[in-house]
Amino acid sequence: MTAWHFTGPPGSVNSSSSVSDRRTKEEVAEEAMYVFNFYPTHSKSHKKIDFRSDVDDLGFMRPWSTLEESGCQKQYETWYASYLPIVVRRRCRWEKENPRRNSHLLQRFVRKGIPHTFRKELWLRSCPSRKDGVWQRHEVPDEVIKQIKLDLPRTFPDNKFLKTETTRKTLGRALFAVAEHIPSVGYCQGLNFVAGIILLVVNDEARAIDLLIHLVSQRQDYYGKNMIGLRRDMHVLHSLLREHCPRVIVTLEKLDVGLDMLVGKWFVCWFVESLPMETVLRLWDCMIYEGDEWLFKIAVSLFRSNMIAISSCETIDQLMTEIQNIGTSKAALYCHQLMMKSAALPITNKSIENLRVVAEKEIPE
Amino acid sequence: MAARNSAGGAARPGGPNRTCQFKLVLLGESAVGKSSLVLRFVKGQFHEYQESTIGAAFLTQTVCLDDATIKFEIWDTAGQERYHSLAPMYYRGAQAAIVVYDITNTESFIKAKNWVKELQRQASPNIVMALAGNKADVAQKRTVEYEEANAYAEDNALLFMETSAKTSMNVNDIFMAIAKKLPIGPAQGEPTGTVDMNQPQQQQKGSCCK
Repeated sequence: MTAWHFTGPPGSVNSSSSVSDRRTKEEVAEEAMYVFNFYPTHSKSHKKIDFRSDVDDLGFMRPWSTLEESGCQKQYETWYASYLPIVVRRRCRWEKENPRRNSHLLQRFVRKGIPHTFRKELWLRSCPSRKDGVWQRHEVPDEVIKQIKLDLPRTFPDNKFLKTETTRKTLGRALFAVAEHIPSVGYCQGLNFVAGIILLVVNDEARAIDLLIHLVSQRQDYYGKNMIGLRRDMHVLHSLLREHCPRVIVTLEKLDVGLDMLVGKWFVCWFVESLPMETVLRLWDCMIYEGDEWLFKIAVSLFRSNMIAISSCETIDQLMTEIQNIGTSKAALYCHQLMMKSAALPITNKSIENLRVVAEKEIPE
Repeated sequence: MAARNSAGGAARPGGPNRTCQFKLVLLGESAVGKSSLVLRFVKGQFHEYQESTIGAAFLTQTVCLDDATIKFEIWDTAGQERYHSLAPMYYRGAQAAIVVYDITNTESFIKAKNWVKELQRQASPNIVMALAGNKADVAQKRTVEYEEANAYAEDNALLFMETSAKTSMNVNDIFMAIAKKLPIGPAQGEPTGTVDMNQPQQQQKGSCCK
């Protein structure tokens, strides 16, 4: 099952007219357009965004265009009606208090969601540039180039932007740059999806590539030979789940199935393709600003929210169905609540580091 | 494409009808069509550009033999070499495996032989193995001869078919051929009587199981 890809408003924004009595529907729609539209320059030529369009601002099909399940659009609209006021309020607060200049405020503001107008700036905030010579260039083996080429048309093949030849070439250059600057990684499947999202959000090839290299270089052991980092972190997640939702672990042990088999992709792709896009972006805001603890916080939160369903599974088949349903669960869709719940979990970068040290001793080479 | 047969034989009156679940794993090089074969078998669909599989995907499909219902729990794995280290947990305990190569890509055939060797060494000794030469619809670009692959399969006691996820050629057939070879029930007996090769149940997720 594919997770929902979507950002931005649903087919109708009428439901949000109760946001504030002071605003007309048109003003709210305008606000929504401003808040969510990733390409403001495009919107000038199209004064009004077509909210009934099948494609969102990042070029993904809206959920009701891809999902057959009935009730999906309704669920999405209900969520959106509750989410839009939050987004509008956050943007007002960002503009008023400008947390970018106040590091005490910034963490709290990032956790509550970076308005898209500031997202690119914040994501790139501590990202070095290749121009500064932080990373050296290395020769890229033909084999790696071949693999990258193979995956270009297999990266979000339905995305409006990524299916054009030009953007695919940009994606190719981005993945090539990773191989060039991080030879221990070269190319690892999964990075194509990560790179795709970075390109779509940052929308500036040079800086998008800087950010991609920056983020991948921090997680080299995930994508290198044998993917040791991934296997280590699955042990870490196992320990965290044992502590925070032991019933899930009991089920996994009963069914003799490892977390790698269930949720490896969450960590390889930083939840892209597994959660709704707005949820992914909110998570990335925190992961980029604060670190890997957020991958674990979200994973534990999702397991906790779906614990009853998961722990009542009696077969692998049922378990896999429940795991796949997490991506479209209410917990995954209501991203603001998910972020707030996750923030409250006592999981920190420090505790992750400690667990990683223990886990490293347990994994076979 | 087999005709959809929703009645299946799920609850055939009179005859014995056991339901057996089997774990099946797909292995093979990147972009040979593993996910496409599964998508064709499970949903009857084909996408020209199938997204790269990360980690593994899990799907199920049920087929009905003459005297038993077989439910496949299919693990469709990632093809890239570095995901290889994760593969053992997918083939561990698997009763069946399909090793896939692309008939237009000689390297993928070499890789397939390596997978077969690894399975012979590490997987369960009774595993039913099939070799699928996929992309048979582009036979004009073939670099792996049918005879060569067939001889290799015979030497290693593998089921062998050339398949096309695009045209659906031999897709259901290879799964049915595997189903026929699986031990159903504690008697370990081969299914008796004729087996209808053309009637796997489509889009009946787990309906006639349990």
